[in-house]
Amino acid sequence: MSLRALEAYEDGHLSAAGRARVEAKLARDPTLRRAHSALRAYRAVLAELPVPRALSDGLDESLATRVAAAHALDRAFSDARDVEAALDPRIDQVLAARLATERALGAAFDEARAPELRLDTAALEAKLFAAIASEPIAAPNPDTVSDTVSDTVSDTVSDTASAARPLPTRAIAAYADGRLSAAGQHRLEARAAKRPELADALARARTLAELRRESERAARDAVSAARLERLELPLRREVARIDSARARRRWLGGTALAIAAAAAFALLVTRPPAASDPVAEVELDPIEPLVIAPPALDAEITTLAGEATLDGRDEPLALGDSLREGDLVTVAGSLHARIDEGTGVAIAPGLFRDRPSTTARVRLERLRADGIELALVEGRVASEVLTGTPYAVVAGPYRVEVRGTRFSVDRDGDAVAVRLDEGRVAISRDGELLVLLEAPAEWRSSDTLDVPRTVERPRALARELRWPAFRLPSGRFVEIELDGTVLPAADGLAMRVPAGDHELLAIDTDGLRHRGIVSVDEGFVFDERSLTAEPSAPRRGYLAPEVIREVVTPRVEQLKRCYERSLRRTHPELAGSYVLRVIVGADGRVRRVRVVTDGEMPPPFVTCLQLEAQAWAFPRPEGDGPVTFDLPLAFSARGL
Amino acid sequence: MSAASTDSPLTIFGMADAPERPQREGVPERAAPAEAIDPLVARAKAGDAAAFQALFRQHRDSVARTVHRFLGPSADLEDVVQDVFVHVYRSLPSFRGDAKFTTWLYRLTANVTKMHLRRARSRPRFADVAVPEATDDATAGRPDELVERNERVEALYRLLDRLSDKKRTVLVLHDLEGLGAKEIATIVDAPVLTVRTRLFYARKELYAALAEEPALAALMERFLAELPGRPTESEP
Repeated sequence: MSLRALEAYEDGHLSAAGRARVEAKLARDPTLRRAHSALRAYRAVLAELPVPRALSDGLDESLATRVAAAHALDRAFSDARDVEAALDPRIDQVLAARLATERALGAAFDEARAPELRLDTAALEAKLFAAIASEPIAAPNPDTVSDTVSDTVSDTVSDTASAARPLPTRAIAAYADGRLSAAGQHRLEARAAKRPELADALARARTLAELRRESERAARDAVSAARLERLELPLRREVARIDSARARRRWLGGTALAIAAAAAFALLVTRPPAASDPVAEVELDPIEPLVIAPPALDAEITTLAGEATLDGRDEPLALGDSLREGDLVTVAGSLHARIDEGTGVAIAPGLFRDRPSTTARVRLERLRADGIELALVEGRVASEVLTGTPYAVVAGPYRVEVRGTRFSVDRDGDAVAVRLDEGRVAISRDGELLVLLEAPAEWRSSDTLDVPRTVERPRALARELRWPAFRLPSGRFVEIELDGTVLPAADGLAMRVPAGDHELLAIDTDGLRHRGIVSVDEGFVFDERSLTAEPSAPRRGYLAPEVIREVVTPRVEQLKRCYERSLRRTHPELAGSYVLRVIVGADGRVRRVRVVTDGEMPPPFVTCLQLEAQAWAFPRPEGDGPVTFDLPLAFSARGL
Repeated sequence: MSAASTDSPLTIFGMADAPERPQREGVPERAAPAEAIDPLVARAKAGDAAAFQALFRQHRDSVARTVHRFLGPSADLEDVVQDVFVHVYRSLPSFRGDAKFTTWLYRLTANVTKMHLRRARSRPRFADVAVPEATDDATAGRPDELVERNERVEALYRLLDRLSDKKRTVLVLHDLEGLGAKEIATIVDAPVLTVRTRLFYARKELYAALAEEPALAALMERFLAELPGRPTESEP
């Protein structure tokens, strides 16, 4: 009997005879009975579908903002398109070719990725050049409007040659593109401080470069309206700049040269300059051989807990050591490093279910001013990237590329998990874009890996690095609080802190609290005498057994999985009784997990149990002290 | 004949419009705009911001309902509703009035939601994320009943996640949203017969998988027990 007949029966669409037939069949056919009950269950659930909760009042308003932004941008684009048509003969051939390439590229991206959402990058570029072009229109000499850009350039050069020294065009372009050495940047900026028109040109070139990068990014992304708003910002800034430039007509020579700078910049991006390029005429500044390879960056270790080593170097890494391009770092514990201004990296073992790792390995593939690339061999890399420097973490075949962000990448063999707390990242595999994530988001390549719950924030990111080092001895304390911030201290701890007095609270392995003021300066050595034990007996917290049970019971299943995995993979004979000794800190977080056993235990099994137990979260113990409890476990393969 | 169907009552079950009005089933006709576009839509299409706002007010709740039907318990409801209207704003100029505005809106909503689901699918979902549903629901019973009900609804959406996009769209629009097969045909741009076939197979897959969800299996057992008669062999 068909499903349709059953549906008709339920809907009352059958004749009496039909109904009787269905009922007779239902009474004796178990398959039909199940199909019938499935149908009824489905309908029952449909009838219970909840109504959506009421939409918030702010929805109208925020939609209005989004739509208004989209509208404004659309209009700007359509204006720009008109201008572009008029602009074409004004742009020299190289520029036109570049525009055409980018337009084709943008269209290809749009088509491949987001047919529903299109951003006209060509129009954006056009807007950019329209903005540039609008300046000569404001100039008192209307003749320049009909000139080509290169003509404008030569005219202006000859006009202003007596008035001011010409601008170092190529250097400006290199500056905007981040291709100058630090010394070169410095020199240029020092000169700009004395020459307002140079400062103006620098700022403008940077804006243009930013705008170009943003438009390229936008073309790569599936552009949502929210992003369009962001995209609009540099546009607005540029237009505002041009408006204010118009108000300062006395700088006409300078601004016209800035146009030349922008044109030269675009030209440089397109291809290496040839002698016949019209821009070469503008290149009049002979003392500017500044374009060199992107400078290398150092990564300085700002916090270290546990041990970290470099391949090919015997002694372990220490606080303040530098990591360089090509280094392969192995970390058992936790390492924070600062790369340049604004980028921080935390490297630590990952929390993998299958093969709990105890180390993390990361190779610094590229550490340059124009791009940072880390290759994650195993473990976790958490990053905070606050600069515009291209930044990527490569984990096996996957590449996680950043656009201003805080995120972490975990890798275990071929499995990769990404957690994104701020900003956005693009994940590609073998060069093919897989997904664009917008924070907050999680992604993983396979089910065997867990996505971490939070992204560790790399420490001492944008702070002054000349701070002295604060170090604690290994194994003495389970938990410390420095000026109210709780830090892990199990493996010893070294970190940069501001010089001066700090309030330290340290809880030792017996749960005894020590308190004191430590003065940290250059060459600080921890002296236990600076701490006084709290007068009372070791401060102990209290967690009621039922509270512990409430947290642990639902998670015993995960401990069982650790066992089953070891059983299946490596130790088919594994069985026995163990005691899990858990120390819970005063804040309710698990501080330490020890597995006590008489017999042998495979290390991956122990690590798995520890990692699982470390993820438990208890309420704050009563009495504000740590709590230690034992959890007896008996594993046996019988009955599985 | 216009492709836009008449306002049939929203029947949840059975393809109410099929037995009563047998007709040739084929690709929905793309007739020239039979009726003039709703003046409000026309004004919004011409760029009248106030008209767009009125359009939003008029349709926001029904869009929210449809989105909610597609997504199930989800924290993203408002985001998706907003996305739908941003798309409406951008696509309105291309609305030619071939279909009713509401049908067009359904199509857009279905597409935006589908995109959202695809994006969401590429990230893992925590199984235990509980999204609070309407608490002012008058039909809400005792807390434990509410929990059970929510479990069943979540289970249903897990099953829906296993359907293909096409089947899911048709099933949600027909069974959950109560649209007729003809209107769905216009929305998904497929022949009515295809819509019925998709619906049939979608339901079949759902029924077959129902027992795999404990919350729904329990309900099935209850209905089984209510059935009169005795099967000839013991139930599996």
